[in-house]
Amino acid sequence: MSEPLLQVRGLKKYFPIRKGVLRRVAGQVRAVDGVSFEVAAGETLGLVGESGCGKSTAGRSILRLIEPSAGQILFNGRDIRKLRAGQMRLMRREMQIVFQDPYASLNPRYTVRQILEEPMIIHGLFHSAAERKKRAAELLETVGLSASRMDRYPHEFSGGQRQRIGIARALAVDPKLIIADEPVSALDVSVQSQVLNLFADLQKQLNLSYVFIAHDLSVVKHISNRIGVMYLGQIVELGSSDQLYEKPLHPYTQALLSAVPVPDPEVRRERIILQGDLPSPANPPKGCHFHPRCKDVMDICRTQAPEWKEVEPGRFAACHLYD
Amino acid sequence: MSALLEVSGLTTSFLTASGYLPAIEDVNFTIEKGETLGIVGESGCGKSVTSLSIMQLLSTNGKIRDGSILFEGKQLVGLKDTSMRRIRGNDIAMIFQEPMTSLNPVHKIGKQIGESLRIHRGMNKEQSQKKAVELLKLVGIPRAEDIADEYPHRLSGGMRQRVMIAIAMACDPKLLIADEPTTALDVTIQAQILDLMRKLKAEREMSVLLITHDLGVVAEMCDRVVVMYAGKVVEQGSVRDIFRNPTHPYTIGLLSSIPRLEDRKQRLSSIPGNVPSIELMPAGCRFASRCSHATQRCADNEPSLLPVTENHQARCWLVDDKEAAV
Repeated sequence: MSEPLLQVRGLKKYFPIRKGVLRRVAGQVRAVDGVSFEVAAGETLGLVGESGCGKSTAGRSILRLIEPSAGQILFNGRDIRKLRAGQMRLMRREMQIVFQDPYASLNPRYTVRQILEEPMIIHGLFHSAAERKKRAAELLETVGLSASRMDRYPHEFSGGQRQRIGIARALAVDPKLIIADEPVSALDVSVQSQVLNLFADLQKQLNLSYVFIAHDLSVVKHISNRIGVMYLGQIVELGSSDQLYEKPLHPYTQALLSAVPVPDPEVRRERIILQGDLPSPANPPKGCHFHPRCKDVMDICRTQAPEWKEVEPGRFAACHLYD
Repeated sequence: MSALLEVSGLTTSFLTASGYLPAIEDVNFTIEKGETLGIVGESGCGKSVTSLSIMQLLSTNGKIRDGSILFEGKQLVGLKDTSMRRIRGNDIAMIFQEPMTSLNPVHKIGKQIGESLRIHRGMNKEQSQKKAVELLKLVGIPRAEDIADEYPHRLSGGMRQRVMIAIAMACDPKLLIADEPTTALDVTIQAQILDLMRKLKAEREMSVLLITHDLGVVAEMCDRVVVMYAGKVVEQGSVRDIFRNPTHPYTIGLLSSIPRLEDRKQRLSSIPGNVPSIELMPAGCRFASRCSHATQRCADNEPSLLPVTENHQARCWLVDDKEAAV
């Protein structure tokens, strides 16, 4: 097999907690605490988890939009953490991001054309304004919007259309990898399905790779080839999306899957209701981070963190049940 | 038996630069005692305006222009503020979507829960505080005594929503209006809250009006469903009718655009286009521009709610055609 497009190894991002007049570091929030995964060309890797599990921080750290604390990020075999600012900017042509909020992520004072041309100008892609305009028009058509509307402002578009503009902007520089951070969670279901289909179509046409970050398991399952489930800064399980759904290994994945309401009044799923709330990532529980809420907790879980290992071919989990 | 709540012909308008524009028009539904009715629809369809109209909590530029709201046979439309205040928080209670902003940050939890007890039940501070602790226990909050003495910022989103439910439960309401009660919560916390609401409803024979955009939540919680689109009810029926025999093309489109966990990867169907804006409502069927079955008749005339079966109606000419064909 050829080398994966993106390899993330032991990625960590700690945010310091500062206290007192001297702003001394009093502790660390371990937002991302040792995350590893690979994404092949043309593949979609989903990252799911609840608020505060570190999925967005992980996504942004990969692009170095926030500087990771530790770990390796290899893109096409090159460690991008070693790149200087200028080199990094060049690298960002290959890796782009689509944000959650289509209302906040577009500059309200720019026309759609300016929004789409800005990345081309930054990366020096086209030399004449006419060429850039042609490309902007192409991009709009690609994402299913009419090119005749490119001189309008973002507020003249609906939420779903704005998200299409956000996607077009990411595509403007012909990236290989797109990190999509909750790209459909602000949208209504009927519009959400349009945007999900657009992601799928673009992937086929342009052989894009996605890291698709979302909290909605059914959305992630739909779009992803493989899924990593995150809990308190760590991936607790990783596997193909069908395997993960049919036979979840980690008790947290099991609980998460069972909690999704089924849109069918006659299906009653056995539900595992987790007790309590997510612990703080500043002070995670000892041993396995999930043990205080786990239905299968054993003595060893309270003291010893489980190892991340391949339980079945292609399926990884960190849980003492599979020791 | 007469219904607990009977809403008929309800039209609520908002004053805008171009005059009064209706956010909801001619909304009809009933809620029986002990029943859970779901109102579903996408953003801007008028589901929240419907609930705020019942509570008469509309912002100052909003006004009920027409229709009636009968609660236990009593007309709520046009009721004086003082009389409405006696019902609100007492017979009808409401929980909101945003547990982060719907609690007062400068008052302790116990005091906020006790407020309606002091107002409606004439309890003194001590009695209401004691009852507040009981209510916190009822909604499954650990260390209830300590939490009653805390401020809202100390609690997580799920815990705050439990506190909101405790406030709503304080006066044993006959009707609970829950407006997107779990939308801001994570799915495992949502499961906890829905479970709690189901338990409380069964124990107290309370009726619930559940407003949500999530069809999964509807399928799990509701007895009957009202589907709204662009300010109008487009279909209503039992939960089984809606999920097994959806009739309005909008309901069908909505149901088929949800990604489902059990499905193998395939293309999602979606509804093309967007909801028409409130200023430019078409004369005919409001869904016609996005509907694959639309005919000239749909563009010219708006259908009324036509009966599909005895308790199942849809606002669509297709129902009429089917009947004519039989």
